[in-house]
Parts: sequence; structure tokens; C-alpha cells
Amino acid sequence: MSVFFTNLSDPRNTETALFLEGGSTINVGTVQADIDKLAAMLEPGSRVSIYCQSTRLFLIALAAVWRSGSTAILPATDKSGYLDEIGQQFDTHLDDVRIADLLGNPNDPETANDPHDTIADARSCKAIFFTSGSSGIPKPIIKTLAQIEDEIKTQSLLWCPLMQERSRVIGLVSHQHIYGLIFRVIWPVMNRQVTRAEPAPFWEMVLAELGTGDMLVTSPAQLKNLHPDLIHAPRPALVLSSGGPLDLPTAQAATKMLGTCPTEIYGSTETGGIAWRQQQGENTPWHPLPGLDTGLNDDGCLRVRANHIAGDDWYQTQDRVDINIDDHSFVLKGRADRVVKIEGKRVSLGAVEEHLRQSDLVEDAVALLAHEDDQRLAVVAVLTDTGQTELQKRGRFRMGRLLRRDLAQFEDDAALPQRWRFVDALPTDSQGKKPLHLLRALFDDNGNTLPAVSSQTRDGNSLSMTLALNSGMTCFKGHFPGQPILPGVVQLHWAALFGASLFGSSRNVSEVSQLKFRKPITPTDVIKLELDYDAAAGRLKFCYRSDEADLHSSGTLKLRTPDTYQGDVA
Amino acid sequence: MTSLETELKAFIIETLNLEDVQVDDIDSTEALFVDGLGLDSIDALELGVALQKKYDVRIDAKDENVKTHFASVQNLAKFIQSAKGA
Repeated sequence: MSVFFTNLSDPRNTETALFLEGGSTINVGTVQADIDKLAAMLEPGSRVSIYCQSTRLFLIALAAVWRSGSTAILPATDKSGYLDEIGQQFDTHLDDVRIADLLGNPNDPETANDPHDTIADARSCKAIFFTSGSSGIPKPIIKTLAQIEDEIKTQSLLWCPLMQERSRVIGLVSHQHIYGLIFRVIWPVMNRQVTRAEPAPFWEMVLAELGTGDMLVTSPAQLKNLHPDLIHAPRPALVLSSGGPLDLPTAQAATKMLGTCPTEIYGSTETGGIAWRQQQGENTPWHPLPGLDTGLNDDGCLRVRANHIAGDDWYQTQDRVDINIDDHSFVLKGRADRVVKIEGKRVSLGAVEEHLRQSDLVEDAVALLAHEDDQRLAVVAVLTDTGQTELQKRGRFRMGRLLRRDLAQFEDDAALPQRWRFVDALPTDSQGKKPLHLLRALFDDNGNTLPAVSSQTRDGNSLSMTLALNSGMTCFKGHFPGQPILPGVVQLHWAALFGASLFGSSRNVSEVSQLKFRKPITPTDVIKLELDYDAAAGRLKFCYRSDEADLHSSGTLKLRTPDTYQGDVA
Repeated sequence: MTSLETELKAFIIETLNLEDVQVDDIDSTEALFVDGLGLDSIDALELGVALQKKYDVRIDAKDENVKTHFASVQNLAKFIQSAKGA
């Protein structure tokens, strides 16, 4: 018997508030009526993808899909490229607009079935999530409502005693992921708590609504970016965080700001919740959820067994742990799959990152294989201020080699990274994770949009550079088929771009004058770009030539500089 | 700067996949390793193999002059020229 469906259809709950939306509440009865209506309109046994901003519409769609005997597909984003990627996996797509449309239609008595006839079996209600595999290709993970309810029953043993009469669920994470689905959607129905319907990824959006004793469903990214006014906000009863471990300083700062130590849940889409902790100091261990068995495989990786994971079967994780045999708590020691084989040697990505972080020049770093079959490591690093200064001085390549020499004190040759990217912040997704495919994208070629500079000479504010073009360049595509020539606008763009990078001039062109296109530039031409920069006048003259005599094009760019803005004011 | 030196610079950049380094960034007399361009022993190995292939020169790791040959682009050009002339 499903507690979720029972609670939704129980007549005693009809008047119970379920959603907080636009300042008012919506009760269970209203939601149940919408579920009935939508379920009657869905094709039984189909695969329906759901992506909603509103948690209320999401719950209605999810319950209706299950009620109609269909399977719910829960994409992580609604970006069209992503939906295309998983497009094979669903028949219908429901979003806020479509659901609201369907609910706005008058009831068709022909197809409508009696809502109380069918309470779905929780074991046959399936939701399919997609996690980004190592290649970035979405990998489907199937969860049943029975598993989700089992986990909530377990988690309730720990957290329900903390709840107060009026404790509401204020979610800042997306309900499209397992963690948000559990705590923002299914938990409120099972535990009869009011939950916020509107998305609220930022603290500003919930600040005014927070009440004493609320349960906050957050992520490490949000706890890292607490709003300063939170210190005056009503004290929550429970602050959950999942999606990745919190670092200790963040946990401590959040404790101060929110008046309660964040409760971290460790788990994954595959397993759901495994363990929890409240970080009070260094190396705070994780406590397994009640009734969850733990063990180790030969590699020292954690395996877990619980009703909500794989029933009586063990589930093997890739997380290396130290287990305390007295209380079964454990400390995470990093992922086993973060060991890669290079030239037959095992290289720990975590160790490389740790050694890099020890450098005064590096704030944070991620080591990876930029392509699956690469035989050398790549690193994406965020530099400290000192590191930035060095980078300016040395350039990217020499900077990478400098860091590599530091690293060589600790690591074998095989572990020394070859390719480096220096970024202001590591790319993260909405859950604060650093997906491999985003990191790998940093190593993709620049799309072949700029010509290679084969030589350059500079004399004060005059510059001459030889550009090597190739027919594969983006700017030649379709311009024109069979007869590629370099578009005029690209010539202007390159002039402004190279001017900006070599003279530090503005990239912002306000006016083009004396523009002449004499002769087309083709991919096989070896061309010289000559630039003359007049900083005082904010003027950049350019010309493209094949040799001294052969002029392709020329012109003058008037650049918008901070000086001209001031000039306007004066 | 001789044309062989320029060629070698381009060859080093290509062989070692030196992203964002251009021919003009490398000085012919600058040290290729550690303090100059900052290449290391792994680069040396890769470069050595590639040079043998392209210029058909024999590089004997036990030869005490190897270090001198690889000190700079200028030295490398001299080495290749003399090896080919021989």
C-alpha cells in the first residue's frame, strides 16, 4: 500500500494544506482533483517526461502518470539539446504550460475514470532519472515509488522528531533530482507538511517566507552562498544538504548563520540516501541511515544494503571508506573511480588535486582525462591572486609547466598533467557538482574560429602579423559554398580582437570608416594583418595584405573607450 | 634566426602540443628546459623520439653532449645540421 497515494486520496486530508504558493495555501483535495483529471487524459502505459518549474504541477503530473499506469521520465534540465538526447526514451513531454492547459480543459466524462478505484501499487510506479555518465551521455536510473517511500520511512525516524506542529518544507533545490523529489514532493505528502510550490534557487526568494521550525532542503552551493540577512531570519528546525560534501568552514559558517548545523545526506541517484552527518570538526564521520547495512569490498569501497536500495542485495559503491567497527560510522576517502591508469600506472586524481592545492599559486583544481583514451592528465585550475600574477607574466603554457615542476616533487611522471586550463571558477551544474563533460568541454578546440598567428612584429603602436587560414574555419562555412571567402564582418572582428589583445584597446567598435574591400581573401591566402593604434583618438586602423603591394582590405575602427565616455559627460 | 630554427620552433610547438605558445614566443637562445620555456623530462623524451623520426638523426641518451644539444633551439639546429652534414 502506498502511503503517498493513500494520503492524497484520504477524505480526512481533503482540507489539509499541501502547497504554499503565491502567499496562500492549496489543500490536498484540490491537488487530488487535478491528479484525477490529468490521469484520465493520459495514455495508459506510456512514457511521459515531466519538467516543471512549479512543484505543485510536478506532483500532479507525476501522480497522474503513475495513476495512469505510465512511467515518469524526469530530465535534469529542459534544455532542448538535452531533451533531444534522451528523446528516444519518452512518448509525451509535460511542462508547466502543457499541464495547466490540460487541467484547464473541461472534464470528458467518457474517458474519466473513478479516482478511488485505482490506488497505484508503489512497486509498479517508476520514475527514470538521468545521471551524466563519464562521457556526458545521460545514463538512465530507474527508481520505484516503493523505494522512495521506504527511504522516507527510514529518514522520518531521524528527522520527524525534530519537526514542530507548523514545520513546512522550504526547498531551494530542484525537484527534478532524486533528493528534491524525495524531500520536496513525496515527503510532504507522506508526513503531512506544507511545501513551497514555486522554485526558489536563491535565498532572496524565500527570505521573507521563512518560519520558525521550517525544514530547509538545500545544496552545498546554496550553503556556500548564504544571504547575510539569514542571521535575522526565524530559526529552521532542520537544514538538509545533499549533492556533495560540505567543506568544514562552510558547515561552520552556515551553523552560525542559520542557528542549526546543516545535516548532510550522503547518497546518489542509484542508491538514494545512505548516511548523514552534522559536521562539528575535522573528519566528522557519516552515520548510516537506520537499518542500513554497510560493508567493504576488496578495494576498500563501501557496499550498502537497505530496503530502499536493492532490497536484500548489496549495492557496491565506488567510494573508498574507513569504517569504525564500533558504531559503523565511516569516513569517506575519495572515489575509487578517480584513479586512472596512465602508461600502466595507477594515478589518483584526488592526490594530484591535493598536491596542486598545496601550492601558493592554486586555489582549487580538478584533474581529469580530457578524452576517454588520453594517456596524459589534464587539469582545470583556479589560481590565487599570486597565481594570476604569474599567469600574466608567463602565459598559460609556461604556467602549466611551472605547476608541473612543483608537482614532480610528489608525483610520478605518469601523473604529471600535460594540458592546463586556468579559469575564474570551476564549472558546476545547478546542484553544485562538477560534471566531467563540462570540464572536458574546456579542452575542446576553440571551434576553429580564429586564425593561427604564424609570426608578428610590433613597433610601438604598429603591429604586423601573419595569419594562417584554413578551409575548415567556421567563418568559411557557407560563405560561399564551393567559393569560400573571408566575410568582411569577420575581418573587422579580427582586427578589433587582435587590437584588444595586443594593444589592450577596447573591443567595442562604435564606428567604421574608410572601409574598402579590394580583393577577397580565400582560405589558401597567407595574409598579413597590419594594425595601427592611436590610443588618444581611440582609433584602430587595419589593413589585410598578401604582400606589400597586394591590398585586400582596409579601414578605420573608432573604438569606444572609457575615455570617450568621460568625454561625453564633460 | 635561421629557417631551421624557425622550423624547429614550430615543430616543438606541434609535437608537444604547446597550446598558446607561438613561434615568436620562443627565443632561439633561451633554455628549452626548466627556467626558459619550462619543458621537462617527459617533454624531452617525446621531443627526442619525434626529432629522430622527422630529421633522421640518432640521439644517444648516453652521449654526454645530449644535454648541450637540447639546451636551446639554436643548439638543436646546430646539432641537426651537423648530424645531417656528417
